Amino acid sequence: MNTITDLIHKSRLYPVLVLDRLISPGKRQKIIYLSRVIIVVLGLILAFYLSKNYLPAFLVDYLSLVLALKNKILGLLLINLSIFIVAILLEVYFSSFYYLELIAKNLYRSEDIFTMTVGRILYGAKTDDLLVGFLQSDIGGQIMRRLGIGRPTIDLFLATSPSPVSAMLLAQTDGPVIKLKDLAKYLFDQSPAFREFLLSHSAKEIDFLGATKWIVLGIELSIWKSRWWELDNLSRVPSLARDWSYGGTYHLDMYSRDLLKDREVDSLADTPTNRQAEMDQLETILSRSREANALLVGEAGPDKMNTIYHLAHQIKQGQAVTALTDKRPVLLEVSLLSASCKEKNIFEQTILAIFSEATKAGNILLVIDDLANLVAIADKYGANLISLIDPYLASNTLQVIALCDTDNFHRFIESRASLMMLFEKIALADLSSEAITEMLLQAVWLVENNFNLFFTYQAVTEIASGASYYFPDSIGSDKAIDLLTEIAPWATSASLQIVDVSAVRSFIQNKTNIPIGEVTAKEKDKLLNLESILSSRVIGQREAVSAVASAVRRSRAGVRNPSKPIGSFLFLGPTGVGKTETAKALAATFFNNENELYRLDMSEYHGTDAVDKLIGSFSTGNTGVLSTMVRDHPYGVILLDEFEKTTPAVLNIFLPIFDEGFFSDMNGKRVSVKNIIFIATSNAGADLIWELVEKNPDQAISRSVLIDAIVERGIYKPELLNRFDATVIFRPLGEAELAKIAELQLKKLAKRLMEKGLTLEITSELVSSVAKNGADQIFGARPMLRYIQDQVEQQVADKMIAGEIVAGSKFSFIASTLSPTGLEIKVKNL
Amino acid sequence: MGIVTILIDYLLWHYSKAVMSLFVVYRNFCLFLSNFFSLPLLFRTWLSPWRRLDEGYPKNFTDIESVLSTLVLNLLMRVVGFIMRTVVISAGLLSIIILTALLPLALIIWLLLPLIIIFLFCLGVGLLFV
Repeated sequence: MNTITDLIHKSRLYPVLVLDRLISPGKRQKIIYLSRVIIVVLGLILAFYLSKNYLPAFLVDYLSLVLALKNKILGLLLINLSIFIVAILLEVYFSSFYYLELIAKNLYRSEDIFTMTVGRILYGAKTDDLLVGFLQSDIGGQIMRRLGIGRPTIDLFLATSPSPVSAMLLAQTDGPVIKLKDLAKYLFDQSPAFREFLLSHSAKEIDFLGATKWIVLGIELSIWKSRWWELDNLSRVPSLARDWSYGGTYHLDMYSRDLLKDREVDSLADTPTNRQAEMDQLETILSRSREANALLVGEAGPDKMNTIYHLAHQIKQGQAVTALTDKRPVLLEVSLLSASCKEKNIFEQTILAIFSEATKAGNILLVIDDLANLVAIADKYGANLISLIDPYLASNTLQVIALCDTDNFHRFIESRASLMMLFEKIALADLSSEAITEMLLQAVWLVENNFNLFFTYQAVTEIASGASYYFPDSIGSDKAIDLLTEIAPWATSASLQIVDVSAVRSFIQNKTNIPIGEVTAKEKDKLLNLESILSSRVIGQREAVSAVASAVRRSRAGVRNPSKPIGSFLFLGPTGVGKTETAKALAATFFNNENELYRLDMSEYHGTDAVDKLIGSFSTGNTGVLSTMVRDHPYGVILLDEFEKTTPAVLNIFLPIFDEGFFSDMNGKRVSVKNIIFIATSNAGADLIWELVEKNPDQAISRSVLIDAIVERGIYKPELLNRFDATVIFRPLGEAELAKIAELQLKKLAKRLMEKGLTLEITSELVSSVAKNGADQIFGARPMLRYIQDQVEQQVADKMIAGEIVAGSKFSFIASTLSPTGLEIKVKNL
Repeated sequence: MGIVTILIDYLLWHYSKAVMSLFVVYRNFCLFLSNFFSLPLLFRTWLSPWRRLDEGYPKNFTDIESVLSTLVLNLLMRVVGFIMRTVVISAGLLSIIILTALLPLALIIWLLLPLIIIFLFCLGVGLLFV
């Protein structure tokens, strides 16, 4: 039988665990603190006693009690000193076992069986039930708390008496001993009740194991920091006399910053990097005996510079590879150089002086902050930069790291083979959500300390995924850190103490206007009655309203495909039947703001330069309308009006947009449209719709017939039509619908007049007149507004100017043969 | 498990692994001091010019005055460098010697520490009740 007791008894750690239980870490800390305070106080009293011959007489009088008790004070001091030493020895004793977990991951002895962390949980278990032992342990409690599950909830779960989990099958997964992650995985696999309990609190297996890893990381870091005598910790002290053996850099200093003295580098002391792979690559390239030059290419943003800061930090801490030991990383600021050099010969002389000095100094790691800019300046002056710097870059005493944005790399650097030969390119890869989470987990501790907050594990993963999902144009890690540091003060101001997933979502919702938080009761009501809400604005288009409402509900429930736009719809139908109104209603409903509708008149994109106008042109450097629109408004509805009037080349651009949720702009940079709803409106097939409606006014229009006809006419390709979430057919409006629209528009007018104190009584005569005269077969309800403006508003305005209608007047319109419009105002009373 | 077993286990650690760790800590401090005083680098460049302040000799060696003045200047820089580095190297070596001298003392204290604790405690109790 492999019971917990068996496991404990077999372990070499058994006596250590017994002692640890006897004098717990908390008790040890208290003992150290108290005995230290007592030693200091008693020591001071004794110091007074010993210096009695040098003190003024009146003070010595006060010491009479001390004089009398001096032996007892000394006795107390010695007792406390011995207690203090014992407590310190115990700390070192326990720390050495934890230390084994840290450095000797592969050096466990076979008799160890499990790590100290697991041992504590096992020894603390009161029964042979591993699950209860884990949940009642201090570390188990910490893990559960990180999952947003507090002690009372755990107690309630334990009160349901979940099936016990025996230690019989508990075994290590990798390495020779059982670690905390093995125990966590074992519990999750072995206990269905525990699994369900976690899932019911929105904690999946990945969250549970992630939170476990987070807690272990915290323990490891704290143990590591407390062992100040380890070589890594001692190496943090900067060395003396390093620069005595290297040359000075007078010219270079004028245009650069010494990164070893830079505050930005110092501020990274406890900040983790998620660019370890790139830093390893950098170190490998810089370790070469010759041509040790790297070109770091990445998206515009601070990621490249942060990687350099981390490398400089490693050099400063003496943790870099041998080839970089003693190196002085210096950041050459090209903009400073550009501002100082006004002529070709000055520029050339300065470049030569800088590189010659840096080479001669012998310890310079030169970082050029913007290689593309340097190349551009050289081009401007007609200088041959490559021939100027080539001899220095090839030397074995100078290492160079050049930084460049991806856009500029493609524009200025890539095509210059001779320049590319001098450098080895390192591309900063896009960070995965997991990599961002790992970095955030360490950054959270600092934020928690500063703001007195507590983040759950799921909240941290939500920040990581939210950063890449809702802010796709920013650099992932940077945006995630920004999001974290923005959430902290927001949570404090909202009097939150625990930041969980819903808090993160609420924050993102406030920031982006995209509803992503939990569905509130009010919103639930709105979502369930979306059809009727939309129908109050869009008259007579039940099918269209239903398709749009379903898409909104899908998106809000979070079941939509996250790598596509929120929705993409093709609205087919004649003019003036409510296509644009539906788009407006959608913007107002989904984003709570009708102004989040951005319109592109696609008939303007029909020339040979249509694609360039839309996404920008590399040759002219002009940015595209769509690229700019999406970057400026990454969340909203984009209305592609008269979609059929653009060119096939433009239509092809929309294939990846609807399918993958992004497109590439003129510089090949990805523009994300994942938070956009696209609505393409089109009159294509309007004649066929009319025909079908005239033939069978009461029947639904056959979608297949219409789409086949559109494809046959070559207006849209089938692959484009298939990429829309829904192709919605708008029916021509009948008399009843037109009357409703007329009434709706007249009510809006009445509301405006009411603000001026005028009461317009909307009669059936007025409604039918507006419906009859304001609409036509070709333009549908579109001319109606114009009609109301010309015929109704005009008459009201005339009467107001004539003084026949004043504030407080009540009036209506009646049919009149005398009036050319067939309507005449009738003022009822005053 | 009795207190005696725990005590024996602790003492086993105190006189085996902990003693080994003491040597590791000594090595760590030696490396730290060597790094802090930049000893490997200063030894390597002991006779190099101070901050690499040297001048290139003229191509035309017939200009004896210029060659000599460069020679004197370069020599001077090397002497300055040698003196400065010697001071730091001496300080570094002295620190390591002191550390090495303290090692046996630390070792003795560590080995006697259980007895010292008992002694301090007993003495304290004795004084308390005198």
